[in-house]
Amino acid sequence: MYKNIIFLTLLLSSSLFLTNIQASEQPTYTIGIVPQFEIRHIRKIWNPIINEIERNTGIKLKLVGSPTIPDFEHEFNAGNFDFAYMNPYHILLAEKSQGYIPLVRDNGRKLHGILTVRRDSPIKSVKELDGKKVAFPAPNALGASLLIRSDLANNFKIKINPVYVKTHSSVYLNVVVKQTAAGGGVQKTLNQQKINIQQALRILHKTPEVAPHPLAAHPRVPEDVRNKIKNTLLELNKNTIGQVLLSKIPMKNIGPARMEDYLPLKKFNLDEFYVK
Amino acid sequence: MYFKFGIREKLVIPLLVGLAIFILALFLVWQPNQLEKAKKQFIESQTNILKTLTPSIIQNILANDLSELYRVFENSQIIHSKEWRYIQLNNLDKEQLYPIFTSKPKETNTLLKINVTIEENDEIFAYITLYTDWNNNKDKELKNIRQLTAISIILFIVIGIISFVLQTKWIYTPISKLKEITLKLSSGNYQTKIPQGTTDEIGSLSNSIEQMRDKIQLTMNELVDGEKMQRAILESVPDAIITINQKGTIQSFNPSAEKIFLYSAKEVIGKNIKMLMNDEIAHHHNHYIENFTASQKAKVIGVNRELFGVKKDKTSFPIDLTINAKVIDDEYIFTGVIRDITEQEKVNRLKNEFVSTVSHELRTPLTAIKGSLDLVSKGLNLDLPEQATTMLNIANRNVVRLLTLINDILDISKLESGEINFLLEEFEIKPFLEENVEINQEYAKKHNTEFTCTHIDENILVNADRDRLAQVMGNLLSNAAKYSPENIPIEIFTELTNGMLRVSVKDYGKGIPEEFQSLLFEKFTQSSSGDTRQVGGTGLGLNISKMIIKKLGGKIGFDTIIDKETVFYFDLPII
Repeated sequence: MYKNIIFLTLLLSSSLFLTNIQASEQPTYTIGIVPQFEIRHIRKIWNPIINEIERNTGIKLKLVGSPTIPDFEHEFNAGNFDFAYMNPYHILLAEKSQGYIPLVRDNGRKLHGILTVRRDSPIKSVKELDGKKVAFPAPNALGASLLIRSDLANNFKIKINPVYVKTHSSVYLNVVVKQTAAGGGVQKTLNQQKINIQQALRILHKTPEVAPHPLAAHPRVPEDVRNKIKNTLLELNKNTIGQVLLSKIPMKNIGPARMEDYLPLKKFNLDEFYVK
Repeated sequence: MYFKFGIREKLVIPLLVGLAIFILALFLVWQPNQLEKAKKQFIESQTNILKTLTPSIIQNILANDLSELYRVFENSQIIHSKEWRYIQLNNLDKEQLYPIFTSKPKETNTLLKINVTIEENDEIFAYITLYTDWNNNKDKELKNIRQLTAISIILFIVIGIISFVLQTKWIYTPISKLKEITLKLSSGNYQTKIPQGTTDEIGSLSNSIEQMRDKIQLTMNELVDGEKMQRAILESVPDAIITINQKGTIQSFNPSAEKIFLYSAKEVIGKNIKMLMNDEIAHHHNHYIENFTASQKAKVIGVNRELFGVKKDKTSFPIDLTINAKVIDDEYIFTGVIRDITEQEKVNRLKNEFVSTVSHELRTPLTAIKGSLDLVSKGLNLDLPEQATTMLNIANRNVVRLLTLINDILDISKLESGEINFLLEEFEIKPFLEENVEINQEYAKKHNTEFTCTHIDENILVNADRDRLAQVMGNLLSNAAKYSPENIPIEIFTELTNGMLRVSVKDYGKGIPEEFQSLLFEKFTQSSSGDTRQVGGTGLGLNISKMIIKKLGGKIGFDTIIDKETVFYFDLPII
């Protein structure tokens, strides 16, 4: 009996000791993903990529979900994520609040908003939308809402009546069924619509382009860790499987990201249009 | 066209008619109703499905989330792809939100348009128009309906067949048996066995028929017995009994009739009764029957009459006839009872001849005796002792009485045998009556009374025998004088009634006792038998008077009030 107790104590203390060693040698970094999609979809996209990173670098990563975009914003502003995949506007905020450093982004494309009207709409210029109803998926959608609203207000000096219709598809449908005079979207989601919807619409205006979503790192993460992960991701682009995995993010042609890439976005004064 | 249906066909007809009505009702009423009901149910179910979309529609409309709204509709359309052909959503401004590119389908018979308003708490959010095809449901429903229809019809037919078989067993078969039995009964076969057993109406009909059969049998036996009895009576009656109908056709002719008329019944039945009459009566016969059937009154009915019948050998013979009339089946049947009185007449004649001969033979010596007595008492002026004179007077009086009696008997005998010839002449009644009253006045004086003519009609002519009528007047006047109280005049007067002249003689005597009234005109009758000698007379006067007046075509009679008055009268036809 006595022997047993000693043995158990030894076993317990040794296991604690071992854990401590492991913890100190192999820290687990958190990674937050902007909840553009539902969490299951996000995990489906990111888990294979995280696995690849862990396998190649030995760095432990943990996917941390946020239920809503405001939650997500709150988390990164508080510096709760070691790594975060966020939209271009978010990096401006995150850089400002916590000093997040962009690591990689899609170099294959740029992000811009598009303003669509019905193909048969009499509206020929953006100015004609003054005072009209314009559909947007949500107030803070970057390309489809913030860029356009900023562009209309700052560059065209018109005031529109925004109608938030939840999704991009709804935006296009609202335009098609004439519930709004125009709708804000992005090229990608327009391309995903049924062909007859696409054919029923006409792009009235494109906003200036901005760099797409970056994966950023908190400055507390050691530089070698940041570089390991950046390099691993850049390496992934060199094989087909990696490209497929990355294209799901979506990053068609992954490349390094710099804070300078996002500075033009500042000119949009998005803070004015951002709905907290 | 005329159809003759038996009871079995009549049992089938209602079933067939019922079946036809049932089938018509099924196809014209029930099926359309069921289909309409199914249609309504279908519409209701479709409406309910649309209503279940209400929360998501409202939510998405409020959020302007057309994409989600489309998803809802598209999913619903996929789920209900069997029925839903087209669904349209319009907003409050009637702007079409869904669908974008598909257009309304062509309307068909099976395509139903359902409008549903999407509302919550009385706030309207949108309008849905659904074109839903209920062809599948309709086909399914029609299949059900047709199955039910087929089952109902088969059930009806099966029930019909069962009911027909049972009706045949319970009604037709027993009734046909009863029909055969009644046919046998009507043909006189009373030994037929009548089935028993059932407790229903047919059973009781069967019992009734049996009872009826028994009663008929009993009645028949009684009738046969009665008939035999009647026949025995008819055959044993010595009188001829003949019945005829209104037309005079002979219906029955009993054996005595055969004997009397020498015809067999076969020879006369169905022929006219006139063949049994002489021409004179036959001539009037039709007239009699017509009169009777028109007025129900006739002299002939119930009265004995003496007539003449004609036998087969055309010889005529005297008969005594009584006729009675009875209504049988709305028609008069006359029954004549005829007695051959040839023998009776012969006896009467012999009797009359005998009386007449005897009277005549008696009168001759009596006349001689009276002549001798008259000579002795008056003519020879003999001085006879007073006692002898008294005796002579008695003898004389009785001889006169005897002579009077003999004269009366002779008169009656002659009147009855028809030997008296009436010398008819026309004369005025007034002088005749006054003369007779005057002649008889002496007789009244003897009884301390008198005859007075109170009212005699003038210028009235009658056709009569003066002497015979004077005989009647003498009789009536002498009777009145005999029975009249003293010093009260006897009144003689006339009246005219119905073309007849009535001559009345009225006295204020004691009247005629009731028990004598019916015998008054019979022979040898006087008001009181005990009085005969007191009042005198033979008691034959009124009998003679009656016969004379009858021969003159008139009628004699009287009215009397006891202890007050008596009126004797006779009626004569006026010319």
